[in-house]
Amino acid sequence: MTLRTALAVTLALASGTPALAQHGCPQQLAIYTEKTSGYELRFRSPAPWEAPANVSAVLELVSREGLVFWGTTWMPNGTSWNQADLFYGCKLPGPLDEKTGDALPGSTEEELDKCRVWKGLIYQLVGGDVDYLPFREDPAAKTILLTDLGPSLHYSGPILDRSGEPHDVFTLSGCAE
Amino acid sequence: MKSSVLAAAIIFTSSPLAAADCDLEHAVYTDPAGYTLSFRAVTREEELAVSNAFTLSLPSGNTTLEGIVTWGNGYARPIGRLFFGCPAGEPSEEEWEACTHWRGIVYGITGSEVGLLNASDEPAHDQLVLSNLGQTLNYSLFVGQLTEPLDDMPWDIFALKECRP
Repeated sequence: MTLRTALAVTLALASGTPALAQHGCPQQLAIYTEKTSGYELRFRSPAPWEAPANVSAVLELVSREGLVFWGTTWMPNGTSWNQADLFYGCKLPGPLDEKTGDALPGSTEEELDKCRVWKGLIYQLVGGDVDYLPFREDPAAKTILLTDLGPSLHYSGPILDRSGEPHDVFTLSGCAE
Repeated sequence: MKSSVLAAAIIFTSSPLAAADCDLEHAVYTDPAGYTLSFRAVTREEELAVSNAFTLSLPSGNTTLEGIVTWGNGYARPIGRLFFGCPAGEPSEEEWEACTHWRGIVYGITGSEVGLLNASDEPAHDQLVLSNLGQTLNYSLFVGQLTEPLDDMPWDIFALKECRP
């Protein structure tokens, strides 16, 4: 356990977290809700063929009306914060082709560029500070901030109605089985 | 660096000052690295385009960056910018671009609520988040223009330190 995770655990215990966090939902199974719009953001671990090794989770953002965005979050080299992106209308590679054993191709880089609707940072907000997202198996962050998410989704097209865009702060609301 | 930031983070808890009693334009914030972010009132000439005005002083106190916040044309987030080394008079668009060293959304935290930065004459927040400030300044041309050594970049979160009269 690193000093950083030790600190995160200490802070989580000290601040009287709900049962959810005490049981330690791993970050890669965490489910968040944006309270003003009802958007739900789900983390899941990427299948080996879906993403490069530095991707820590595949993201799925679902609006109340059922719009679905998917994306990834990763830790760039160096000291940068966790980066993330979301796409609308593109597809991930896979599943595996049973005959060849290879993953079925997803959208090309060019297609991904066209349907990328957000790219930004994800901060964990904890103990009066900003921090990195916990890595895959580590206990999930309670509150996360996706910088400039709402307007980006709106200006990139899929959300026509201004009132349908989410705010940028999501709170832990569940844990996938 | 990492452990000093971590140590700073532990003592860097919410401010004892009552943010509700201070208008944002009088609020002074600080970060664990010793930077000071001071708001000022928006001038009459600025007020059509600018919602908030501030300065960011280096820990030494000898160097200051000028900052503004705008809401763009119907854009639903407050966009902060920091300038350093801009030419006097009326800089061209290219010159503005060249002396803009950070651009990012500014969030305000009041109690446990994380929202958007208030207007200049509204109450101050307990804390501010300036998206990706430290990293952006670190990789900007700003450092090369400094006439003093700089040990640490600012952190991305600032806490209310005082309310100026």
